[in-house]
Amino acid sequence: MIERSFSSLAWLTFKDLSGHRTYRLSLLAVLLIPWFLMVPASLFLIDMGKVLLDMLFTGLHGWLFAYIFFIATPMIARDIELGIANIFLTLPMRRTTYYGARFIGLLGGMIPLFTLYLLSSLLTIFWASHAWQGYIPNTLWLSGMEGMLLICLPYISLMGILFLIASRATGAAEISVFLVAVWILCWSIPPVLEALQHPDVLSKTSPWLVALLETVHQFLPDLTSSQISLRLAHELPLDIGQVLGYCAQHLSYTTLAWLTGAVLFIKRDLS
Amino acid sequence: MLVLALIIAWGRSTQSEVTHIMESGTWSESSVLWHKASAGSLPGLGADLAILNVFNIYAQVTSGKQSGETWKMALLDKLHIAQSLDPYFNDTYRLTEGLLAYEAGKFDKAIDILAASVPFLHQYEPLMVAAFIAHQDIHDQQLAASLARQAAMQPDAPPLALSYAAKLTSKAAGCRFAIAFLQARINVTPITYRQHILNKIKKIREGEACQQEIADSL
Repeated sequence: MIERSFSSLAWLTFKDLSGHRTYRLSLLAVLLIPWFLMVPASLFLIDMGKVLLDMLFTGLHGWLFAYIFFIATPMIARDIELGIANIFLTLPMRRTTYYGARFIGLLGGMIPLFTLYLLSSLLTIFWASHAWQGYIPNTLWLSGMEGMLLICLPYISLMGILFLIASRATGAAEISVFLVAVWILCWSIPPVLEALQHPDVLSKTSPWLVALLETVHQFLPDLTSSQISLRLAHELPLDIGQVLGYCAQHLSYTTLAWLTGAVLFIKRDLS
Repeated sequence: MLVLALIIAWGRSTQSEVTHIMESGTWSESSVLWHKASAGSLPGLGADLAILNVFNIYAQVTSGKQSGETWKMALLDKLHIAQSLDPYFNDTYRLTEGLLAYEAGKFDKAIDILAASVPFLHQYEPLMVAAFIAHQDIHDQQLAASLARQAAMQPDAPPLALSYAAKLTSKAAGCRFAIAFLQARINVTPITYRQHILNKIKKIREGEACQQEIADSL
């Protein structure tokens, strides 16, 4: 019974999403974006394959960000603000079932978008390799595919953080503010800490600032994929340990955020 | 939860160390932090945008909208940003050679940028160009020989690179060597950016010492 209500709600979430005009427009957008990205890539001289991958990775970051902030966040906020969560919970449904089914449904909504974007990107790479012969390496599509799969992981973690925030939030404004704050800090702090590792920079930066950044970084998930996307864009090999570590930490962040959120949601007064 | 926290700690520890580039001049420490922070997960895109700005500066200079020292400093700044964000990007090194060295005349800065490519690219080309600039333009034969030796040691160095390195090291490189080197560079430079190399060849040919050397060899 519980399993059926879980899959039903997950499916309902996905159906609800697919009925939205924003979602349908997103499906069209992810098909077209890679082709438009060939325009800026064509402006470069030698490393055109690298630039094309940079652009495709940027497009992926862009629509994943848009999906979480403009499609997933409003749906969760609507559940809280309009009391839709309460309606579901009056049925014989456990809170964790509702919480988990919504999470899986929203993650499931990313799959058609990702599949279309990946296919369209691969076609773009093949087209570009014919149009710009000698400038696009033959194995670029492989690096592109690997990069796109890995870039998705921080956004799955961000989805977990969205559910953690939503478990205690009162509405859209609160969720958006906290989620944007987490995203900005996760985006900007890891690269700054990397730069601070350089002795020249470290010697000229206030120790208080370094300590503050280090402390904030320890409490925040490390959601950056910068080094991975940089190496893959240049077709440089990734260390298998590094990839495994990257995948393991992001999936663990997702699980940790989801579990903490579920515990908080169970204790939440919904009346 | 503890297991998950341990997996996260392990995952973080597996991420590779980053090698950094730092130069003096307009490129300050605070600007490194700012550019890294704003580029976030997209350092490659940050470098691409910096290179687009280099094209923009070049277009303004050729159309006569920019002159004096300002554009040279802006050019240097953009190339530093590009290298700092993406040190593997070949366009940065080609534009450093063509624009920063031959157009802007910032020879020492160009050598710094080209020489800093070693830990990332492991290619002979940027080092050989740096050696050539040190020999031909700032007349620092010791630096030229050192850079040429480094270039010859790179895994992709062809026999031609070894021959250039030998000439620079033995200080036997005259203007005919310089012209031959630049003509070889034309073949690997995109058509749009060949003009500055052609100008450089013309300038060397017109030099009194070069004309004397050519006359002596006949």
